Amino acid sequence: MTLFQRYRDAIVCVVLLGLPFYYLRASTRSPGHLGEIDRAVVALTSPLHYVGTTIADGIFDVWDRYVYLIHVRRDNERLRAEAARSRADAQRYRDAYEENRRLRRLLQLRVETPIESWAAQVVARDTTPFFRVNRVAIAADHGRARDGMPVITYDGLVGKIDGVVGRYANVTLVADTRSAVDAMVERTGARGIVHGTGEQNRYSAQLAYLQRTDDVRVGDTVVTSGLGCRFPPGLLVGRVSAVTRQEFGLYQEVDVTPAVDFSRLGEVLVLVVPPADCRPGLLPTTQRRTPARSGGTP
Amino acid sequence: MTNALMIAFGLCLLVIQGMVQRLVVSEQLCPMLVVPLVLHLAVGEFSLSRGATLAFVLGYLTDVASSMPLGLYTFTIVALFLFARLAGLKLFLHGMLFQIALTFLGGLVVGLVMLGLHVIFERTALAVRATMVVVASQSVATALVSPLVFAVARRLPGVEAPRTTDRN
Repeated sequence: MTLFQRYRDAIVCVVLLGLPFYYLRASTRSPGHLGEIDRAVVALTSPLHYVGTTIADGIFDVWDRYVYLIHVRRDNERLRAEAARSRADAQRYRDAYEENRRLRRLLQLRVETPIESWAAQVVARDTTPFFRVNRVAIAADHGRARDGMPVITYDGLVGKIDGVVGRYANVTLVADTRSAVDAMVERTGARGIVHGTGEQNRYSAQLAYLQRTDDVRVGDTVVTSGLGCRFPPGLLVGRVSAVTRQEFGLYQEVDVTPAVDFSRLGEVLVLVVPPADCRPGLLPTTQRRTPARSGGTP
Repeated sequence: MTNALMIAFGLCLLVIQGMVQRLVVSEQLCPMLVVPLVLHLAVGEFSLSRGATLAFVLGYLTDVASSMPLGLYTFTIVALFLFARLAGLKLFLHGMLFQIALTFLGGLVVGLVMLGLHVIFERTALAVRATMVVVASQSVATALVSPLVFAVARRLPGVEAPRTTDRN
């Protein structure tokens, strides 16, 4: 056994302890105080240190990126969920805002209407090629609904109640072919009957039985006349959209675009007065102002 | 092959340690995962030269990974290996509690050696009490996770089981 083999363990231990100790001593000294041996140690170990650091940094860097990506993915999922929740919240707030706006207008209309009325909510729509009937819930005033009661919104006349079942009532719209509303052109007072055309792709009506000689222009507002005691006078029905005069005949064809957007009906007012009371002067002032607010007559 | 496996395992432990360091609230609670591995080397069937060399490499990797002054961990880890080997610790095999106790002791040794080196080379005042708290808390954290490291190190292919009590 050689001397080295005999003392191998001791030599290895001394070297393995001494080398880092000496390197530590050399590296903690300022470069100006490095001796020749220090410089040699640093010079010898620096390349090794560089290679080791580069490899280790590479490994740690890959790991860091992997861990980082896991965090990013988790953050992405969390943020997506938050965004979805926020979108849902925003939609709810928008809906609530719109409902609030509609209810405020309805409340204002109710205050301005000197006719007894109550608010109701549209709960269902039933659109067929032949009839356009909306079903309205009358929860607040159970048992008060009667056939023929007018239904209005802030924009104008919706129709009239046509059948009551329990807490619900069907409303026949102005655009229904079965509907007949005694109306007049507000500007000239020319009278006719508004009835729906029953078109499938849009809500439309016609002002029938209007004398051929009557002055009617596109854009004229059409309001209820109050005759027949079915509707209070002055309720806005719609606006003239087309006028067709034939060379012969007694009447002219007048197309009317309903003032109310039936596809967006939400809350409505049910008027109690007709048919029991059809005194003149019950016209809601809001209804009178509506044409002017939405463009008005020329 | 066994040496490479041990070094690779040590590298994995350092990576995990770096990850844990980010997760724990305080660095004081971050375990030094290499310490149990070095203790496993010290009480295992590794020759003194081979074990010390492996401890040297593991210490060097720890230095590189922890951005400490090069040589600090290298010296400390080799010193720990020699301390454990020379102490002839045989209680290691007597269960998890002894593993935890041994690792806690090893952690204290590492902390004290590093403190000594700091005093020697930095020559700056050190709040001894606060430093001892850090050393102790880190040793506790290391000791608590040490059974896991021991269990994995024992199962590495080609690694002999730690020495049992000498019967011959």
